[in-house]
Amino acid sequence: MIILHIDMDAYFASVEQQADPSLRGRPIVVSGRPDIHSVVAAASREAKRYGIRAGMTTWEAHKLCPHITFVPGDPDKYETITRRFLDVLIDYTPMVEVYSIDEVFMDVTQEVDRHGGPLTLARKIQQRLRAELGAWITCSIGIAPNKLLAKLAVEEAKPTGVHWTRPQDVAQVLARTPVEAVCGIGPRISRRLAHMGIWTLADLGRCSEGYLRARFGVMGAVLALWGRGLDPNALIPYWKEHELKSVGHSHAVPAVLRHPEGARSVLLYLCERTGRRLRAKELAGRVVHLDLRDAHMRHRGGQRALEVPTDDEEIIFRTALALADRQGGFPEATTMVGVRVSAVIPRGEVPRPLLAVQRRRERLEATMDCIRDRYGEGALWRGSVYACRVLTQATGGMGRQKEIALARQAADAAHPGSSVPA
Amino acid sequence: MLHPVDDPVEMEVLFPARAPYPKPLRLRWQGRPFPVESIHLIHERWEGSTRLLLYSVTAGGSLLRLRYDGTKVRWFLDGIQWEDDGP
Repeated sequence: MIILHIDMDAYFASVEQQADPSLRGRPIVVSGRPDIHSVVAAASREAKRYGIRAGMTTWEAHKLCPHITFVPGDPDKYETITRRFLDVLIDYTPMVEVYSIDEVFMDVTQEVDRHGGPLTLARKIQQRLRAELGAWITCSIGIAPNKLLAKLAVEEAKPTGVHWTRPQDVAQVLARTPVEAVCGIGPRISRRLAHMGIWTLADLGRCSEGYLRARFGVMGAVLALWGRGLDPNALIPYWKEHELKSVGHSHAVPAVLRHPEGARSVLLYLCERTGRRLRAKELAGRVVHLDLRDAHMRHRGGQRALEVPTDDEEIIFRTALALADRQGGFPEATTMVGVRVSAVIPRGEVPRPLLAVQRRRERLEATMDCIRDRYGEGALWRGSVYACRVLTQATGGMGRQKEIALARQAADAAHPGSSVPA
Repeated sequence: MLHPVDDPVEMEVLFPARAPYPKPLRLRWQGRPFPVESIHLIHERWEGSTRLLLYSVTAGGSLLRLRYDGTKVRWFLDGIQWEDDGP
């Protein structure tokens, strides 16, 4: 089997550099709005030379490189480019798995001979992506017999290169790869493995499955496979639908909303979005989960099963609110709110509401969905979640800014002079 | 930084075979023609049911963002970055 792992280099940053020539060759980071505390979503190659990495706070990035340029993220740009590079890849094979917005696996076992071998095919793909997307949007490609090894190979290929791990090279790769380099082995597991004297994948491969199972449970079997350079996860092509298990949203609460009333508004806003997504996917869920985090990073929350599955944001909100009350209400400074609806089934399997008030709300939600489909998400806001507009502003994306502008226009049209400046 | 403009412009475009988007060649803004020197990036944005095409281009020595609104069937100058502006 021949698997390619295609990883776009410094993706968001290189898309921004492609869009704006004045950013090229300069250290830039894509982040939230520069005037609020946020994290680095992507750092350009030039910024990486200063030690700046994704996940750092913007404050840390500025300290490492005082002349860094902060660029607000534009999700629309990245989504379009991802769609366009997927279109190119699908030209080569339908066996394409979308792993994340900037990472893709391809099974090219059947195609390599037609293209003159895996290395030639990988270079062809790189050239074509460069020609179609722009010279600044580059990718690295790892080639290996499975997804695990392809993902490790791409690290050797970065930046902009191609690295092929042939079956005869696997033993060497396992001997030099530390366990924490594998996606799925986090700091906790790697610490436990280190205590057991296991540092590399080859060390892991020398342990028996039974021994690892005894210490890590089900995960032990997976670790045993990884230690032998095997991957239990097959490639899932994009056309094979994933079974959706739950729908939900969570959001860090900005400082201005870190009080119980603010957290309540954020919860309602997230329930609205969850309900809307359930309705868009024609699903209804039976179990509502709530997650709250306080200023000391302590989580509280819970879950409750409903009698009838629902896609009604009002029911989701009331259930989540009851869960919060059971935990003693919202923390004084809630820093994160999350809501999720699980045990989802197709909407058609749920009986229609009997009460007139529920039917009226169903019609109202359908009408609100129609308005948002036609005019955008920001076209309609509940008065009680109006303060949550700051959540869309916090991401800093131009698309989001447009959404806010639309909301402001709508508010101004209804009540001139009433909209709050961003 | 792009300064928002939002002015309608007249546009001369090419529809290349098998290309996903039309290619702007020349625009006329405030009565003056500007040849499009290079197209850096094209991306899409949905506003409700309206699909917008956004072009980051260099024309007349400045970075421009052009917008094609498929519903209004019109081109707009979305934003402009003057040469000495910097990012």
